[in-house]
Amino acid sequence: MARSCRAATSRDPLALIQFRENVQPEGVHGNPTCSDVTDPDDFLFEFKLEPVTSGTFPLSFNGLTGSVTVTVSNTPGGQAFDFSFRGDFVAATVVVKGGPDANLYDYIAAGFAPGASADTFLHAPINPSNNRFYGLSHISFCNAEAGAELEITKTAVDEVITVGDRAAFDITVTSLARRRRPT
Amino acid sequence: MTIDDELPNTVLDWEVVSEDIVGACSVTGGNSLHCDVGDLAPSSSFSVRVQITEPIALGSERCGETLDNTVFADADNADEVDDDASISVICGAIQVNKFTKVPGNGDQPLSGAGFTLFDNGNAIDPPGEVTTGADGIACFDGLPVDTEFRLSETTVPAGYTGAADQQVTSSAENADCAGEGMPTMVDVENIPLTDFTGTLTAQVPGATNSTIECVDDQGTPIGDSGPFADPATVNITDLEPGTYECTLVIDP
Repeated sequence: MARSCRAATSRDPLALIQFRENVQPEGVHGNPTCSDVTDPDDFLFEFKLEPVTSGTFPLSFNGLTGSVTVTVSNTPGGQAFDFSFRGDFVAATVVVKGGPDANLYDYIAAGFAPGASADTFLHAPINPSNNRFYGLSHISFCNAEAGAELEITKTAVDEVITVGDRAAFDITVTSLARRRRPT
Repeated sequence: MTIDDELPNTVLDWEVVSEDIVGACSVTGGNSLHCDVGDLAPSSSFSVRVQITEPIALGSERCGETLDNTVFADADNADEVDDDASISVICGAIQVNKFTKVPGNGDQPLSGAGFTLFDNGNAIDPPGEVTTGADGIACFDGLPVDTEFRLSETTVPAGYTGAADQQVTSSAENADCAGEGMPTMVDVENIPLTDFTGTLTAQVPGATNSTIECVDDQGTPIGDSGPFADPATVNITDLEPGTYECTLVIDP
């Protein structure tokens, strides 16, 4: 089921000139949901923001909690927005609906599994009639649990010991900050 | 988050001596460390210290070994990570080279001499007393490195002087008696002893009485026959090589 609704090709107008500084959006036809465009193993739930407004929105799922902050802005190219997650979630994919179709920002495919905790300048497809982004109809955040990065160190208390000494190791595991926006 | 570490060498038993969350870690089978830390919050850490339950023993088979292995940490939402560390176990050795001078043949190995190391008056055991072989060597290994002991010749071969005790420091680097490294070398000489017996006997019994008095090269008396008598006999034992003088007095 995942990504079954993707229809954009290199010849598809939806795929034209929609570059961002990091992850390139992919045009998808119609009004896809997270389940239409995201592998079920890659996300936990969908958070749909409609109408699209700036703000911080609480999120929860099976005991996990967090929030996503959306900041909408009007750019020379049209409406765009930034997002930033806090807490237990990241965005595996983001569907940005505007006009007849949508843009898919796929952070899994871009190599940022389990997802991105923040990104900027997301927008709907381009309206070919004016070469500006369609207005934001709604945003679907397809949320995954934020991944942790562990760091482990094992050190000998004394690297050289002799008779009468005890061998000892110190082991420390640190959970690093959650994964950041793709860079 | 979990931690797993197959700690080195099953001959050694390990124990958890400190952990950030009491009860999170345990060691089974002597060397399998497992920690179940639960949820580890971002930017937080968990630490555990493990050590062997008993110190490295005298004569340990671990001498010269490197205790080396890898620890793994894993979490449901993170990739497994690992790290390794190693500990070198080094032990000191002392080799006693026992010899004696043989007239016309220089220094020769001397077998049958027993040596014991002492630390603060306590015999180092194992290995206890070590006896020189035909090569004149008595070797101690499995000792702490760079440590001073008192070396005592606790069994002296018959016919030789015993060597005085001396302070000896074990090798600073790893060494053993099987050819690994360089033990501390100690040369110990045994001096062969001579017994002397002299007798003055009158050809006509009772016609003369005699005495014998012997001194060393410093003039120090080393034995005499006692009052005038017939016969007069002196027995002196354990004479080290040297020059001695005996004065014979025959009366009248």
